[in-house]
Parts: sequence; C-alpha cells; structure tokens
Amino acid sequence: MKGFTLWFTGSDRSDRNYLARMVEESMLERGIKVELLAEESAGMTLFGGLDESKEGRETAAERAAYVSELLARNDVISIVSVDCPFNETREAAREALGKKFCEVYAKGAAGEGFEEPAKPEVLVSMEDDGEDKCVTTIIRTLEVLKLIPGDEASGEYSDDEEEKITKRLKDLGYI
Amino acid sequence: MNKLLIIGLDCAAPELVFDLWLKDLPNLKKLVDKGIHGDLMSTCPPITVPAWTSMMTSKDPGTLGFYGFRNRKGYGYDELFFANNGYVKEKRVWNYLSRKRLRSLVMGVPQTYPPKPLNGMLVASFLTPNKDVQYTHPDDIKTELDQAAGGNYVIDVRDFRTEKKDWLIEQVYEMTEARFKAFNHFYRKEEWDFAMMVEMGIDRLHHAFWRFFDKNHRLYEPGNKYENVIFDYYKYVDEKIGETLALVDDDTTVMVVSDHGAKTMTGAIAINEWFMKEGYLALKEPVTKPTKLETSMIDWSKTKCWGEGGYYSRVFFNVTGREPEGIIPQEEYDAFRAEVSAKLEAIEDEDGKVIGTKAFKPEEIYKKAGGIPPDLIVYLGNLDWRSAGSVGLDAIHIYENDTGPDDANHAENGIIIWDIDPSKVKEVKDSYSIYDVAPTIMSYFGLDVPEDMIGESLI
Repeated sequence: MKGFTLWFTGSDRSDRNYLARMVEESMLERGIKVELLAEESAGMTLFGGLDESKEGRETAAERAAYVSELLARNDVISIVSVDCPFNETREAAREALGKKFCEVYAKGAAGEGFEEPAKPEVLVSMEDDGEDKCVTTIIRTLEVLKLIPGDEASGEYSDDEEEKITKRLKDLGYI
Repeated sequence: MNKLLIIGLDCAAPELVFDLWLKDLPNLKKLVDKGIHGDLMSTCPPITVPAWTSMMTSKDPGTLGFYGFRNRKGYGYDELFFANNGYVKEKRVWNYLSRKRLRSLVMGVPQTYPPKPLNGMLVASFLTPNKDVQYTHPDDIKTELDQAAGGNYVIDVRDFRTEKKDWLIEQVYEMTEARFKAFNHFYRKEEWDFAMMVEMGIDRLHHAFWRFFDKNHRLYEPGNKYENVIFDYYKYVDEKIGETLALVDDDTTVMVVSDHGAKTMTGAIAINEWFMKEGYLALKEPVTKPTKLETSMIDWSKTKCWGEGGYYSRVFFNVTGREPEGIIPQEEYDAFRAEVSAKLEAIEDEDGKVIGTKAFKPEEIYKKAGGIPPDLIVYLGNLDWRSAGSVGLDAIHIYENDTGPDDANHAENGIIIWDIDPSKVKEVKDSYSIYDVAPTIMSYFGLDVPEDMIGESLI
C-alpha cells in the first residue's frame, strides 16, 4: 500500500477532529499504517508556539503538510486535521503531494473567514449524515480511489471447497 | 501496560478440569489458585460456531445472524451457507484493540476464515478449506508458521470419523504439538498486547473417546485400552500450557476458556423419522435404507416441518407465503409452533421415559433473531441425545450416529480460569457467562465497553 495524505477540511474543529479520529481508527482496525496529525494528537510537538492568527494557522498547516509528505514517501498514510480555513494553503499541500493527496470536506456551520474547498474528493456532513455514514463514505471513497484495499473477506467457497467443508463438518459431528 | 493471554480449549469440561483432575493439571491449578475460576455458560446452542464468536463479540447468535455452522440464506429449501468469517459483521475484541493501536496475535480461533486484517497477525481455524488458500494475516507468514510448527502447521485433524483410534490419537497430539510450538514462536517474537490461541484437540478426543472413559456411557467397558486417553491428553495439554506460561511476563494475566462442555451422548433421535411418524413430514418415495434427507426427496404438499442433524436440531416450518410450497397458514404459525414444541418436549426414550427435550423460540432467547432463524432450536433430551437428520432408519432412537461413531454431546457449561487478583473482580462467582468475556477484555485494556455488548465486565 502506498502512502498518502488524507486532509480534513472543516470549520467545525470538533466535528472535523472527531471524524478524522474515527477514520484513523477504522484504518487501524484493518491493520493499515496510519498516523493522525491533528491539533489534539500532535499537539505541542508539531504546532507549539503558533497562535490563531492567519500566519499561525498557515504555518501549522505547512508543518502538517511537510510531515505528512515525509510519511507518504515512506508509505505511511497520514490524516491531517488542522485549522486551515484558507484555500491557498490547502492547495499548496495538494500541489506538493500530487496524487498522494485526498481532501475530505467535513461541511459544518460556516466559520468566519472560512473558504470552502473548491474540489474536495469527499464531501460529508456530520449534521446531515451522522458519524457512521460519514466514516463509511470516506473509507469507501478511499477504496474506490484504490488508496486502501477493500475490507470484505468473501465468505463464499468454491463448489469443491464447499464439498470438503461439508464432509469435514459431518465427520466432526457438527452437521 | 496490561497484557492478556487467552488460551482457548474447545470443549474443555468443568467437571473434568475442576472436579476430577485439577490436582493432576499443575499449570491450570496454578492459575486457579492465583485467580478466579468457574463454569462459563455457553451460547444457545452450545456449539463451536457461534460460541467462540459470541465470546469474542459479546453478541448472541441471533444478533450475529447465524445459529450453527450451516444456516439458511433465504426461505428456499436449499439455500444454505456456511457461517465462516465472511458472514461475521460484528466487531471482535481484537478489532476494538486494533483501533487503539493495541497489537493482537490470534491463532486457531474458530470462524476466522477467511482472515480479515487486524493490527497484528492471525491464523485462521478449521473452516479453512485447505492450506493452499490464504488462511493467515498477513499472507506471507505461512512459511514461517510451518517452520515454527516443526515443519507442518496442522489446522485440524484429518479424517476424524475413523475407527483407527490409535492413529487418531497420534493425529491429535501432532496437531496440538504443532499449534503450541507455532504459537510460542510468534508469542515470543514480538510484544503482543493481546494474544489468543484455541486448541481443538479436547473436543476431538471427547467425541471419539468418551465412551471409553465415562462410566455412565452405555458402551463403557472397565479396563479398556483407551480408558485414559482423555485424561492423558488433558495432562499433556496442561504441560503445553506450562511451556507457554513460561514465556509470560509480569504485566500479563492469563485466561483459559472453553466454548462449551461435554457430556455422555445417550443416542440420537432421528428427528425427521419422528416428524414422519407424527405426520408432519412426507417423502415423495418411501426410503427403506439409511439415507441423508435431501430436500428434493420431500413432498412439500404434505410437509409441515423438517429438521437438521447435529448436536442439537434446528427445525424449519413450511409456511404459506414464506417457503416456496408452504402449507402452514401464517395465522396458524404460533399455534402450530406451540403444538410441535409440546410434542417434541414429550419425546420419550424406548422405555417410555420423557427425555427432557427443550424447544426454544429464537425471538424469545435472543436480543434479535437476525438472518433466517430456524423456527425452533431443539435440545433433544436436553443435549443427552443428538439429532440425526437421516431417514430410512426404521427407528426413532438410534445408538450409532448416522454419520459415524460419536460418544459425546456438547454440554452448556464450559470453563473460565483467570489468574487475575480476585480482589479486582466485581463479584467472584461459581459461574460466568460466555458473553462476559469480551466486555471484561475491553475493561482490562481500559476501553469503554460498547453499549451493544450483552455481557458485563467481570472487573
């Protein structure tokens, strides 16, 4: 599996971070190597000394983009969820990562100065769809884009396998 | 950081482990003396599938949507599927642990084929059709698995249904030796938060050798050659457990569990013969020699119900508008079910003594009855008798299994032993529920117990 950056954009920090964490957990459940770069997880280490100003937020996004680029080139997936209301900064990250960039727009109440992304790969709304559907939509999109493998183990046996299993279970007394 | 090792012994019986042989099982005794132990009440039905998955999800068979190995896919007469891992939709504990970056080693847990990814490694169990398929996660550990097992990892005994008893014993020992070797290799290799293995040998030997050991079995002969086969194997497994325990560090507690117990099988009730005798089932042509009942043999215009063979019976009704050629009007369904249940529960042995059959309605015993549930789940003689599905037997009571020799049936109580400090346990009891295992593991790792788990944490 190749590394890539799943970039969460959204004006509602709590929804955005929560969804990012749930998507991270879904990937971990599948044994996928993934790291979350969010204000709440990477905290002071990555974003220390930055304030809420435009410059501070731009720098935070640039740092996250840089680290995620390092991870992606080592085939680790990263999920970025930082307070980045500016299209320009996000587009710079997209440009740097090229095909290894996938943007999720978690649509919420419009924040002051927030610029909606023009072409996110995935658009979800916690308010309209609820958590489970949002997570499923995001994961399914990543599967369709072939960024992550599908999860469904096929339960079907071939005729030959079914015959063998039937015989074995009969021998064992189960059926 | 807390770590947990679970050793699963399919079919290990509390009467044998705790009452009869504990003093001869020094490693299990050490765990018993240090912590808590008791019966572990299994699922209804107490069968490997769904019991282990219920244990690892804390969901009942109805919620899981399967009631045994083979289940109905639809209301057609032949639409059956094998409930392998592809049909397991609920999260097992290692799925939750993976989400929190905790690593798991899972080996031989029933119903894990085909394997699904997790944070860690998994070796699937006996629903694996053969070793050429992908039965591990990750796929590339197969060679190492064989090497670690001493050359050949054995998923399950081959050709179980045999009269070559000595050969079978050899097979079971070979399988167990290989599994413990392989498990110990991987257990030692990495630091696992959660490690679990399930050994099937006890189940296999119970079914094949119970008559030689249980003085209450009608075929028991004192002083027979195989009298100690089961006892010797329990001692051997204890020794193997001792070798694994030697690898355990101070941060790890150890749990030993079984999915159900075992009891003497008195015989089998030929369920479909019985339905025919009661006028509920008719065949297109008479059958005069023992024959597996195929649904194509049934005259549906005169058939109200039929049953499956196995350690218990699943009974299906032929309902108008539901089955393709149903004849029981839907408005009479409840009354018919009550009638059949009462008659089943009144089944007698050949001496005219009621054998104590229990008939369960799925929607009454499960949180929900998902998938296509049987219309009745039946413990013949409360599991003293198994169900034989064949016809042409010319008898209701048969004393050799229609699929070959089998001496033991499953009993509802398995075992649990956990070497945790008893003061940490909410309530030390004699008996626990199979549904309590998963919530206990969640609590042990400091994770919230999901609200839809039906058991309760012991700690």
